[in-house]
Amino acid sequence: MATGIILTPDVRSKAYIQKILHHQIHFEHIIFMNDNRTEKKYSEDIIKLSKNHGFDISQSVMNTLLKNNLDFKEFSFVDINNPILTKYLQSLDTEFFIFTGGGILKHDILSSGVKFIHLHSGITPYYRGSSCFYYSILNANYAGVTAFIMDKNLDTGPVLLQKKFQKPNHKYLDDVFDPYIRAETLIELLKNKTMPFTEPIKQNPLDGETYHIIHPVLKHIAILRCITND
Amino acid sequence: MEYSYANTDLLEFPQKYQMTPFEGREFLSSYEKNRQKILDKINNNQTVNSLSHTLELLQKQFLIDIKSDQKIFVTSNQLSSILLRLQHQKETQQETKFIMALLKKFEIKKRIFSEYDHELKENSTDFKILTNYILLAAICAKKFQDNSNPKFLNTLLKLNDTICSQIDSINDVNNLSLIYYIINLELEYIRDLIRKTL
Repeated sequence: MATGIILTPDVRSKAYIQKILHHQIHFEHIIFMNDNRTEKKYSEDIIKLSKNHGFDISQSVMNTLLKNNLDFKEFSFVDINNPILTKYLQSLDTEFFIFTGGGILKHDILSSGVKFIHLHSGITPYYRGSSCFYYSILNANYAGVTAFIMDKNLDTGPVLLQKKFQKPNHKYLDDVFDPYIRAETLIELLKNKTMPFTEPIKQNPLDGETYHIIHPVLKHIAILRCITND
Repeated sequence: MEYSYANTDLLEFPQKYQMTPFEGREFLSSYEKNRQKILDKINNNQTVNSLSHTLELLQKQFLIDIKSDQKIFVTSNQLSSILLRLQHQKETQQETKFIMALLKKFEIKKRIFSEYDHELKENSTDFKILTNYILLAAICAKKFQDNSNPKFLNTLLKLNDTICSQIDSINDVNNLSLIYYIINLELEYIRDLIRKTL
């Protein structure tokens, strides 16, 4: 079964595509939604740390695609619901696409016949929504990732794989830790599972907890917990 | 370092809290100082009523103001009723639904409207009634006290940022007494979390 990936110009996509290349995983289709935003500059510390985690945060998605001579289709917007993208996806014989971002899936794209796999940085149903790895570190000293097939609700689709990670010992949770744990889970999913996925586990949308963007005070406590010796 | 999340008009210009930077331990000190400054300001300007007296006054106000038409929720009435009930017992299922829906709405829009319909859609354009933010903050504080779910502490911090950003425009003694109570609770929860965590 053919599988594709839809990349966006951000750290998550950088980690995904670089780790995919490192593990020599082949995608039938690579799509790059690229609004040509200005690349964020990173300190030497973050670059070094990202390299220690298997990706170079200073390398843009475009650089990686070009440097490795990968075939890709580029769109000049970052919007998963753009009808141009929907039409293009429908023209391909690809059942699954790895989703990296670009908004919440609306009815048209959800009913297009394409299935999207999302790597969410929280163990569902206990951690749905936003900033889940921070809440998970605050509550239980670990973070987790759930790979699932997206549906109309938030983080409630059938689960393909869940993976737990120890809290990091550095402060770059948004830029390095979050993309790293998602990419690691993606690689495990793609290497160990056969497409199409045979036994996704259904979730009950009413179970669990949905969190919202973390307040900076709680975020600081979570990060300080990571970098403070036990 | 100055705590920068409560020093602009957050009702008019809501804070999104997206990708906030890490500023080290000093940030937590600046947060505590900022909140303490608000407590001192309230305490210096007037006598703060006890919580029981504040709730008593709220009860009287609530009995006077309640509307019989339940197709429309008057937010302040609904929140007062829930806050009063929570002092002695658990809220009803319908009240839980209302709290969670309002919490979600505040987290997304950072605004609480004065009335909602039975489907919890806004029935008013007025989001400037500070009592609603104060009452929801008091409910979040109570919920966190009861279940330690950081979701409620998270919303409490954001509600208190909004309330602190408006502190100079609040004159009502009952509102100020409740604010004094909820900020003290918030500080207690955060200090406790820091003690346990770091």
